[in-house]
Amino acid sequence: MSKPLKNRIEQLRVAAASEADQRIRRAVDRAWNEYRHTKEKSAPAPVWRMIMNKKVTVFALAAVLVAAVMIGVFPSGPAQPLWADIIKPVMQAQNAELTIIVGEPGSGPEIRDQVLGSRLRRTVAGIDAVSIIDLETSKILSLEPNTKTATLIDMQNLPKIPNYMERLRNLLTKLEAQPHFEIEYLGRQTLDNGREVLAMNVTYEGGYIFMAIDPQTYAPVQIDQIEGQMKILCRDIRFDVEMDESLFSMDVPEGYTMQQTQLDLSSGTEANFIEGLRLWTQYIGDGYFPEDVRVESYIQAAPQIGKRIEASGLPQEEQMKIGMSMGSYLLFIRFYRGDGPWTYAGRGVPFGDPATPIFWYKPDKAEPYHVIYADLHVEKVADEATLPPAPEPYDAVPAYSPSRAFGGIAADAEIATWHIQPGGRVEVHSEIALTVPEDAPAIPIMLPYPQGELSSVLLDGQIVPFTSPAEGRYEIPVMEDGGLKLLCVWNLPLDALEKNEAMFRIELKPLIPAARFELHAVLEENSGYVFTDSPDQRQMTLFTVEASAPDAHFGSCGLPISPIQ
Amino acid sequence: MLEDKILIWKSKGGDRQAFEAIYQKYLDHLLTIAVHLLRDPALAEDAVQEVFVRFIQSLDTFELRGSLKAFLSCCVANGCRDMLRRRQRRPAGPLDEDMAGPAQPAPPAVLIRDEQDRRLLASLNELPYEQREAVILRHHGGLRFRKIAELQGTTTKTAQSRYTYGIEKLRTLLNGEGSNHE
Repeated sequence: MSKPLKNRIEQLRVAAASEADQRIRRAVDRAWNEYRHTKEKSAPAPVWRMIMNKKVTVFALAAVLVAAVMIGVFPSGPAQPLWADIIKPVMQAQNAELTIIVGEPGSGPEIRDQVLGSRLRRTVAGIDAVSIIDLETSKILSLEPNTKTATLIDMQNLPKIPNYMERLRNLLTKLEAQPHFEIEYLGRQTLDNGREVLAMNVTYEGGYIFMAIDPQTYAPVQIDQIEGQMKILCRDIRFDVEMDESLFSMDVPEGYTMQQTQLDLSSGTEANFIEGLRLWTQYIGDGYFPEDVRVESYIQAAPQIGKRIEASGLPQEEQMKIGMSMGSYLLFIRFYRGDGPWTYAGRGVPFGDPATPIFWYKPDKAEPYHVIYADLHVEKVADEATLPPAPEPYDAVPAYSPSRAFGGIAADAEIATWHIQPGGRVEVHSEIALTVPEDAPAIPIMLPYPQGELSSVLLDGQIVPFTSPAEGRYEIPVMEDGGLKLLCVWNLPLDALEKNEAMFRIELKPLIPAARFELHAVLEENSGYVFTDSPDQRQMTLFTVEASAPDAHFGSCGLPISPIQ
Repeated sequence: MLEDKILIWKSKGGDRQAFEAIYQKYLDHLLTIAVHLLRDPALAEDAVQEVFVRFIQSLDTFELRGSLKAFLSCCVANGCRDMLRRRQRRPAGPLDEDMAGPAQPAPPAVLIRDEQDRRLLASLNELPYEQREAVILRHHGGLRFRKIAELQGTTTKTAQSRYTYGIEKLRTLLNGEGSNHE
């Protein structure tokens, strides 16, 4: 279709006449008022718990803790206690219990905190560990009963806030000093859990809070906050409950192995951020940059990220180091201090191209823009007009999705058949069933071996073109979203595989992260090989797995073939 | 403007202003689709009103899984189809001609800038409903063919063909080479 005709159609627009607007608006107002008064109760299912089906890794725990400890750490501001009736119960409380959800209910991990003085006892739903956080000494003691491991994290340069209650007070009291501070009282409402409350919207520059308070005591029972791009929901808040002080002890229990590490909370520099991006592409994103770099996305994905790191086979100490580096990476975004907003354009971009910008920001009014490219070099750009156009806002995926977290698209299943051919060649047919998200521009695939070469791609039986943005990586343009069947034919020399006396070793890596993965081997005529223990067989199933979530690496397996003597 | 997701989240929390932002952002867009599909500004307003009312009623359970614009566009297209069905069950009226009849005069609510716009609008109105729907949803709703197919209860290929035929017919009509009837 020619562009002028397309443009013409798109320009045939309607502007609502004021009468029409008023008529629609009246109906909308009525519906809105009814909605407010008859809001139905619905508690979302804790999807998060279903994701967690494996013991937590030390990395995942570190990642969650490091990220989570920043929740509630607000930049210091003037604290003038106003709206006193509402904040009085908080100001006087000695201890509290609350559940923190980062992101949407049901999509992120639920963090349950018990607060006593300067100490927090924190558990994260689905993670079999408990952490005691002492804000006075800036230490976290994390205990994993399964492995009897105690990890002591020494946080350096933690902002000086004596205790968690103080954080809450700080939040509530500093709000009023913010520009554009406004409270809209919403009256009596019923929360999802059936509790009757008084509700209000609090808006201020750069943030928004929905607060529900007890009608009798005025104590907050729910605080849902959006600040910048971060969303934190505090639910089920209770003050002055009975607590056993021994639960807050920082002593390592008997029988536990102790390990220690450090985290500098002032280290959220550009260099830390870049290092975090590098680690992401190397260990987490299969060579791709993250879908987005918001803290809440990271926290939501933390346990899955932990599994990826675990799959790297690195020693636990190394895993912990990566966890800490990722913590510093998050600090850059969490306490971002640049002039104007940052822009991230790395979604779906593979590491390596020195001409593709993935992130830019202005560190200071007096400084030029810093542009980070896909090979992670930084250029300074003085002229705003030469900056790349900002990508579409990333708002389409409220819930955590593994495919999003790992920079590509996840497949439902991949069946890979390795055809061993004469001359020591292998032709692999990878049949992939996948559902392409609505807004995906291309399907990225990655061959498990650098010596591999993609020869053809069939989409629902039709040959389709593909491009190769980097060695071993390919992109298939998406013509349509939805359920698709992809057949990728690729080749590699047999000697690209690691070999011992008995067999070759095959890396179990689907071309696209997949939940189900099968690997079969077929010996073609005159291949010159036989299956070592079954010389009469021509084909063999080597591996099958059905995982709870898509993965890009299932380890390795043997290809038990020997040359015909 | 805040992202749609945050606006929805705030709306769920009872923030009327957040919902107002959604309303203002998409009102004209939805009216455009409805007017093109129904060719009756009054009915189009009813369709859009119904979409907003139902959207509010389902806010509690609503989860945004794609673009809000595409979601609301689908809702309005479904609403238009329902209206046409309801109309067809009634005694004959002007809209009964809609599915296959000759072109209606251009709806006054569409902004016409020049003669080319007027001719294009007249040509669009001559397209059979499903072709017009495919063209409008593709270009005003930003919908992919799979979504259009779901909405029309057909296959993706058929939806794509309807769009292609629609565009070809528009070209023919605009070039003055085609007949005025399908």
